[in-house]
Amino acid sequence: MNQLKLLKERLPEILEAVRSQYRLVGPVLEDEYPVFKEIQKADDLVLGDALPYKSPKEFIFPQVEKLLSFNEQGEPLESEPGPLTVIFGIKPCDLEALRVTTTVFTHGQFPDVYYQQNLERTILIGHSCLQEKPGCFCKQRGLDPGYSPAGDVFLIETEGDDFYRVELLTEKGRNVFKDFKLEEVSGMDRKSTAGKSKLDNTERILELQGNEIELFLEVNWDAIAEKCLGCGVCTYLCPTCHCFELKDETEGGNHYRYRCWDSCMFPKFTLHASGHNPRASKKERIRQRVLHKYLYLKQNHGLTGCTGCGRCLRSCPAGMNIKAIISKIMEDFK
Amino acid sequence: MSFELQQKEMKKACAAVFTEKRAELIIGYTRGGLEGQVVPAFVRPGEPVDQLVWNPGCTPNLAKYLLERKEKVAIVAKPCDARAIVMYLIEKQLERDQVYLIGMECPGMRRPDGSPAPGCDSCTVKTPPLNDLRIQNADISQSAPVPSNALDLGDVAANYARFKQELEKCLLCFSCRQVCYGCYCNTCFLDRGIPDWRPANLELGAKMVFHLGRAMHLAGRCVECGACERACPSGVKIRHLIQDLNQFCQELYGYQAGLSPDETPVLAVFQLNDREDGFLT
Repeated sequence: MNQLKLLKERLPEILEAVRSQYRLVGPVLEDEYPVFKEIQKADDLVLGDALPYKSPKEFIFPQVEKLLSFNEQGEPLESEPGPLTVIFGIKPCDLEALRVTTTVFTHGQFPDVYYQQNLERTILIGHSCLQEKPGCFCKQRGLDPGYSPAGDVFLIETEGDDFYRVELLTEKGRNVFKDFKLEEVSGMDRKSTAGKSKLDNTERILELQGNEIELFLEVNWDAIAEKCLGCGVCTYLCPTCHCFELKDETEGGNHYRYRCWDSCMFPKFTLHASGHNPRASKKERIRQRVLHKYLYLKQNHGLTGCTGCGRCLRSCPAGMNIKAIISKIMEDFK
Repeated sequence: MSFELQQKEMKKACAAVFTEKRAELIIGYTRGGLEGQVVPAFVRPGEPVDQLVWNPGCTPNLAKYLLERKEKVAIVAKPCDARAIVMYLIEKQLERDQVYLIGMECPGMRRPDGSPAPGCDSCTVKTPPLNDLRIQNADISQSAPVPSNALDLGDVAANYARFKQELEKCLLCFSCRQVCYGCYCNTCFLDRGIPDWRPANLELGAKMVFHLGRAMHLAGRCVECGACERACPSGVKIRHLIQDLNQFCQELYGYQAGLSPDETPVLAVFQLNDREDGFLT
């Protein structure tokens, strides 16, 4: 695959040019935390090694999204389609996670039109990770921290280089870069871009294998769940989490239906109108979260819903660690 | 005694908990999976007590776990945890004989960079107000509390502006509620559908309903452990509202929560000579 050479010193100029044609979103520093935000000027964008504390999924699957609206007479209200958006600086863990949410929302008999429309008008531009952060385990999940083909463009960075190798993966991606007259370079062997990008032959990929009923009943879920406080931070920061609720509201005479993020960690998440709650206790909710990500998604869609970004590990106030949980289950159920 | 000496004493006390059958479970602290991380530990008879630690990273508030336990539990408690347990006794969520309290005197916890952990910067209660066994620390100083910018009742505009600024980053994820010792209602007011208090958006109005509502429910009950601010993934300085209310409580009624199991909560008693600043005046 041919790649283009983008000198790092040209990046602000390129970003300004992108910003003149698209809504540009990228990592911005806020009180030392990088976070994906809409860029007002190119210098605000920090293309560093730190992982933004929230994933970029909120630009395709917003935390609060208006699905439909109509007035008192039942006539639909006009709504503007969202702008063409370029999201810059997405790390491989987040790109692969978007692959999971895209599969869930768009494959099958009834694709989610809202997600689909948002995705169609978004161009995803990835960027290599040079150093492992504390809590990261993408390699154990079989990812290459230096590269992912799951977006529209990928900026491969190698330690010490003063340029990025821009790999154009889709038509949308090519369109963004078509006017910049970047020099072509011969394709680079991606294995050498980021240290040890693959596991040793001795290490197993972190994933769950086994009989569903056995995993459901025989694992000591009580012991795993007892320290969890049910706070749900993991679900807000996880790039593959996609549970939501619908809320109907009336504002100023008009009526709206909103889709809002919800969390399976909350006790009321599965409360039925009858009053019955199939996941009334913490153990059931933890079991569900782990098996949803590592078993059910694999069964239903062929993908494990965890890319090793480490956000849950870093943010959990009770020290829950899904990597340790899965490793232990793999040990006990060999 | 320093942290290391306290840790030694604590481990001895925990070993004795099992040999003298004082409890069936010990809740304390242990090393987590990440560098420098300290996480809650649940130790049962037969499991090594050596995994338990006591150091300036022991920030999690462990009291809330007691609400779910049916067996007798021994708990390694900082003063703020002990205050939370006192409140649980006062609010009849726990019986005294359910808990064996190993009270740790605490000079304050620290973040990885050495600065005081949220809650510890303004803490005035360095010895546990309740314990079955107390493990002393010679480094606790009787420092004056760091004065907070106390609420000026009259200056609504300034208070509103401050609230708006602090809450800008709030995601409404409710982690602060979940980790708080005092938020244990089976159905939080926010989860009620009739009436539906909270709009389905991230506007300031929704944040006001949640945070101001929660602050009012914690008025006179907050034990200033800082768990809310530590849990917040966005770095919101969420304690500023409650700090103001706590200071208010102390100035008006001379009351701090969780200092004695015999106290009556400040908002549960009325005296004719109570000051009424802010009430219809």
